[in-house]
Amino acid sequence: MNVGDVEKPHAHYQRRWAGLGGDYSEPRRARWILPRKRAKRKSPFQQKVREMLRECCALNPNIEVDQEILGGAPRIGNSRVSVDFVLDRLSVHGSVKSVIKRSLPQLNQDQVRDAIAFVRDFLEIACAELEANDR
Amino acid sequence: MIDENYWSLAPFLRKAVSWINAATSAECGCPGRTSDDALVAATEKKNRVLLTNDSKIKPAVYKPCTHGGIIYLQSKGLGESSIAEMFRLFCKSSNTRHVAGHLTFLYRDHAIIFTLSEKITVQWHVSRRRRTYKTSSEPRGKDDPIVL
Repeated sequence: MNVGDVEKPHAHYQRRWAGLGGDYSEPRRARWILPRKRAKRKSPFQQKVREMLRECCALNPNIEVDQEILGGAPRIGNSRVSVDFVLDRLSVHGSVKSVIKRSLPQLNQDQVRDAIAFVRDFLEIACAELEANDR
Repeated sequence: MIDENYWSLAPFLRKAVSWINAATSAECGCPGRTSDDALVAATEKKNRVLLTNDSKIKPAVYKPCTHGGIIYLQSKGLGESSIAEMFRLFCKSSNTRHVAGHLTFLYRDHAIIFTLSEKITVQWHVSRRRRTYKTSSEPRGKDDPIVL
């Protein structure tokens, strides 16, 4: 387009749909043209589990939950090792020392123990919730 | 490119399959705490296939042909040497050409590769005398875990 040419407010979206290289980065003058994305509602169960995870994370500061890393699964801080993977390795190798020696040399004993403590806390909280619901 | 969970697997893989260039994610410039998006984007940049566990990196989000390729190792209860052997058997099946850019679920005795249009199943059986492979492919259906 030349300087001074008048373009319809939604022309860049039309170009985009036609495969002619329109760009969404242009200022959004016609917002109504794009279908609005609705945020997915989380079920009460999901919300409850997230709350419980948050509680457990508060109890074990070495464990983190981040939606962008491992799809939101609890993992050991500053790494991409998930808590359930640590437990799996523990079931294979049998002891914390051999897990570190054979599978996860980048971790230390405290981090592995924190992962176990996290699962223990999670189970405790979940069982407490179940009991409270039964009453 | 090996995800952080399997960093210790790198020497086993190099030994089991000599012709693959196994590198950890740290060696490829993705240290710990890299986000899933960045890791998957790095596969395309570095022209590598990502080796990760389970499906925490969600297959529905990272669809075929939008990255360098992802292999999901289903290794629950398996030691490092068993995982490397599983990987070696898959590599010997001559189906590794389908892996790049696609999603592969690797199990102990079979592998399922999801391409854009096909679902390729590779099964292997190892006996004392010989190793046999059976490959079948079918068009992608509605029951697939990855919805396009």
